[in-house]
Amino acid sequence: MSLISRNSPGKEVLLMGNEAIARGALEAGISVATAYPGNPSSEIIGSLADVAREMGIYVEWSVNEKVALEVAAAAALSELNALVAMKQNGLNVASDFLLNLNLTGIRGGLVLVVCDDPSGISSTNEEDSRIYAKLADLPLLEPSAFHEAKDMVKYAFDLSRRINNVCIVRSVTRISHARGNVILGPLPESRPVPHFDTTVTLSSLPPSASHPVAHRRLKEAGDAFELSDFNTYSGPDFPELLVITCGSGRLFALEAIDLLNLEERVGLLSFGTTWPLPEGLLLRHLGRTGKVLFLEEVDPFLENNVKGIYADHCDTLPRVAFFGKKSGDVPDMGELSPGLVMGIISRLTAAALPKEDPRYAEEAQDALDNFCPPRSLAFCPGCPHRASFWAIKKALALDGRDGVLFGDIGCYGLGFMATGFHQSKTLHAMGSGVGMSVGFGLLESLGATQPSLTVCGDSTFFHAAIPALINGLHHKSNFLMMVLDNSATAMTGFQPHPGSPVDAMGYPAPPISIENLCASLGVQTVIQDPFELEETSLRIHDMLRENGTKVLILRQECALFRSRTKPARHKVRIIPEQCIGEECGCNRLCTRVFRCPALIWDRDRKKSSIDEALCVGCGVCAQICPSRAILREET
Amino acid sequence: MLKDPFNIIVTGVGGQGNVLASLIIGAILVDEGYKVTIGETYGASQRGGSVMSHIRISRTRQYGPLIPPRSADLVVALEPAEAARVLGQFGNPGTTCVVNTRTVHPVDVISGDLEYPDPDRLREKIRFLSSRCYFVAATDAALELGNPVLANIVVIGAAAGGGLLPITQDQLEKAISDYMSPDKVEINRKAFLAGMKMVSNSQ
Amino acid sequence: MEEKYGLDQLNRRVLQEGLCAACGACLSGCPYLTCFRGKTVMLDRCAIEQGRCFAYCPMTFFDREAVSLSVFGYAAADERIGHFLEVAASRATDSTIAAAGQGGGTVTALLVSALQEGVIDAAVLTADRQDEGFPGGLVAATADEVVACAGSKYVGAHSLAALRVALDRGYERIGIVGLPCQVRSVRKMIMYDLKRENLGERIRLVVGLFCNWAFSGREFAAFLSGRYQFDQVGRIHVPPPPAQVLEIETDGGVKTVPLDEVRPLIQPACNQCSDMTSDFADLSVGMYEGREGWNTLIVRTRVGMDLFRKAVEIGYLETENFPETNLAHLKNAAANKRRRAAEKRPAE
Repeated sequence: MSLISRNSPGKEVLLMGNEAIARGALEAGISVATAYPGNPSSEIIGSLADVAREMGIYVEWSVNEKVALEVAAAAALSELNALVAMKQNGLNVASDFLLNLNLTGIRGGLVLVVCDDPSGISSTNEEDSRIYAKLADLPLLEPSAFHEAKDMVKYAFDLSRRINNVCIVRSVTRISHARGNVILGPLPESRPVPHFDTTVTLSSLPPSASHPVAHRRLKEAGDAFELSDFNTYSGPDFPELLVITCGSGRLFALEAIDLLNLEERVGLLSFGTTWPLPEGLLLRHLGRTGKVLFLEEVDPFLENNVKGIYADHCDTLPRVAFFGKKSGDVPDMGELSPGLVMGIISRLTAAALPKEDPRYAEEAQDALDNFCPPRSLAFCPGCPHRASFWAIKKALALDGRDGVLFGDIGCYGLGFMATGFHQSKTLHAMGSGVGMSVGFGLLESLGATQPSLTVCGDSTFFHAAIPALINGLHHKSNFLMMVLDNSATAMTGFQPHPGSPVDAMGYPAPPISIENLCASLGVQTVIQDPFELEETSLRIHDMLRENGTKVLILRQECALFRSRTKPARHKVRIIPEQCIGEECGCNRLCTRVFRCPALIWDRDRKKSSIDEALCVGCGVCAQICPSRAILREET
Repeated sequence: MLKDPFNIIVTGVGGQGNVLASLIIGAILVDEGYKVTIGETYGASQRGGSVMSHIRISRTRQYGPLIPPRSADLVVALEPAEAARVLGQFGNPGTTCVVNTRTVHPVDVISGDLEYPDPDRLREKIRFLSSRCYFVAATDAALELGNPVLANIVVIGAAAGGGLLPITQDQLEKAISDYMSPDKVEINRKAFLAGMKMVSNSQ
Repeated sequence: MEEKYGLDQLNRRVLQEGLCAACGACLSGCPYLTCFRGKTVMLDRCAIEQGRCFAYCPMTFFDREAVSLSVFGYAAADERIGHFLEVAASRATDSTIAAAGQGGGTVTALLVSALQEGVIDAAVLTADRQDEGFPGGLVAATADEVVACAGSKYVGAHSLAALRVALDRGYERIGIVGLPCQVRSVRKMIMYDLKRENLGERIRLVVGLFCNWAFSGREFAAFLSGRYQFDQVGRIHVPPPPAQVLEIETDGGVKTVPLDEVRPLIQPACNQCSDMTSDFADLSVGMYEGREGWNTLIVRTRVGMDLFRKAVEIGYLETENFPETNLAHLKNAAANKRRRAAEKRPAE
């Protein structure tokens, strides 16, 4: 029973930012929605997938973001409205196509929602994707709250249809994953029938012709933005300090101004349309202050654009002191927070921060220092990746040639941490592990002696690994690719992928077989269950000793995924009398090294024990105990 | 009458149903006509990390998704060390709290690398950092009802029972029905009532 | 002079330096170390500050005086072939045993006697093809099982790993046959017995072999499989000087390989070893140079003497005087090994 498909215009509900975006797309009458899972964007297509059948639309988890954009573009070129969503890295993947599509334009409407992750809370990098709007000459909107997110997306489709080009909506974690009040609007009664006008060729060639068209379209959007209600001002006519912000900065700034009692002194100019920037509106406000503070996430995008406009008009404007990332007043990376914003504004206005009780503050700091141990990330109990990395660790030790494991993205991305026994030595982008492993495996001719290996998830395999695999095979690279096939795109929430038997909307779909694909390429492919630790480590060892391109599929279901439908495999328990714990001959191998969250070291009894609430009964720990103190019985 | 804005933090460990608990509270209050903002940090937190949901409640404005430092009014904690972590950053002398006593050891503690704080001293610390505090054995109650994840609703019930959260049983049932499914209503109602009872017993 | 360290130091000083003698002592009951295709491999780090691995390894430290005192009752020992009560020539009386063994089958005869007389209830020996075709340790509890292990392997075979098997199976009077490094390791085990496993009581007999060097298991296997049908390779024999060859029994007859060709396959640890005649065993056995079908037998302790006499008494072993000239020659050979080792490793 989904809120986002509810046909109750006027009803006020609590929606996640991503759900509000999805609802906005539905209210705009989309027919197609595509994405590849990526935090913090996954819920957009995730929630649309849940209502796809009900709404009569097509929703797809595409194999990667470039293809997702291409699928959405086909719809937009056929008079339909299409939505494509991605995280920051996804836009990098889609960018080649985007930077051609922007020059041909579209016929229907296409909104590209990119969700950045300031501070990289669930990402391998920190990136400000707004630059793509500038690069591609496309209009950019940034929602600052939840109902606005819905309205903005709806508006973006309207704009997109008018200017015949893609519109970009940029959200961040604090909007996408936060929830707030949204008033539902009406849902459309019907949608256009797809039709591709074949009387016209859609090509960007020559760029000397298409580029000016893109500029013209962008200007049309800029003119509309001058009058947009998404840009707001609150505060005195001639503020002592003008805070210029966009996106998540608005609500933080509003609250800070309120808490510091600065409503009479500080103005807040919030832009919802940030490219092109409405010059007229901006110049009016720049003419009324001597001090400007920029608040935005992550890069000084707004800051630099405003300064550029100021520079063009500085003859006619009063002197303004600019404060922001360039001046060092705002950190040049990381997300904003109420405390950070309050501190900056307080400094710039000399307004006093709310008083703190010093004794409380001291006790509170003591609590942070001594009463809450950090929680490192770990593979879930029963995770096949723990077994895989254990086997890799053993295989590399037995091999003895200092093999290099190139890591990749997914839950197994944690392979460089203690939970993965620090096995992965690199972590970059989707599929880059394979690419680099191929590259390293080619260095033998130059004298390299270390074996090359990589791990790659099943979803990552389809996303990006195949071209690299082909490259390795054709160029005769000596490397081992281990596909960690847990039958899920687990890290982002178990979305299906081309290896799954169902699609995003729940319809049966032909699963693409990884081993058949590899076999058809002529790669030596072996399938192995990582839960058979000894066998797996020997297998990896022996494959490392062979020359050429090798694929080993380590296939075992994700524990979380499995627990939804299947019972525990084993009942596992520890015989305390057999456990030698800290002594020579063990040194807490299960808790200290293996580190399954369900294995607990009891400091008082000096024994390991099993947390029954967490144990899923995979039985792998029973295979590693040197004293045979861990018993597993089939259930 | 609630302070405006009223700031609640629901905290726990990934997998404890933290997100659902905050969603239920928020949904109930939106139905009551409040502007509610819930800010979450999750993604990789399923895999054993700390989870925090900031709930902002106001009659007049939509507030930002993060609570300013030292501005939490109520802390609903599904785990005691997480209560300490949250109070350390966001607590103030007036903060009230409800804490589930069941510890979830971090991986670094169960591996023997770090120590978990002494439970009595931890309790003392939490008491010092709050004006009123209820400790409830919510996971035990949830296990009795058949599923440890119900602890999140038990703790909400305790907060309501202690007069710290303006939520009634009927409101809860409606929210569960709307945001989860009707067949989940009964068991969650029981969990809520169990929590309420625990607090009125310990008064 | 006992040093107290753990796996970190063992790895740093021995494994990473390539000085592992492949005796197998560290493998007993440790999940961080394993023997894989003839080589000792460290699988992970162990943080224990004082471990059995470091204490029992023959290549970390060796307190000669303390061991001497513990085994012989006094600290002094002959600088060349070690402390002894008697040196004799010997051979097994049973022709099958004699044929199975190296030289005269003396070790086999001693063990069979020990088993029969209840001196031991099991023996830790070295057998062919234990670890994926490589020689390895084995626990023998019957005469047949002992005979099956007869014959020198010339390879570092991690035999002492099988001691853990014998202990786990509950044997209370264990006999061990080993190379000089393995004998030293066993003596350290008995002396330090870090986990109070009552090793001094449970290990009743230590028979040492004469040894100048041993091949690395993995490298020798690679050498053999490069030249011959590996699984058809039989006995290895090093004839006495002046022949500088290795004799290898194959399905195509006995092959002769110049020693110089296989010298690179010798374990680097052996170059630092000063002990040719297993100075700290109860009994030490080697070839009798110049007399085919006989062994040189050195009796060192009371335990050794009792078994020697018993074996002769029950008719498993026959013995003759060992001529002075041969003894002098043996002492020279032992001294040479000691001198070569001193050049490599001055502090001992």
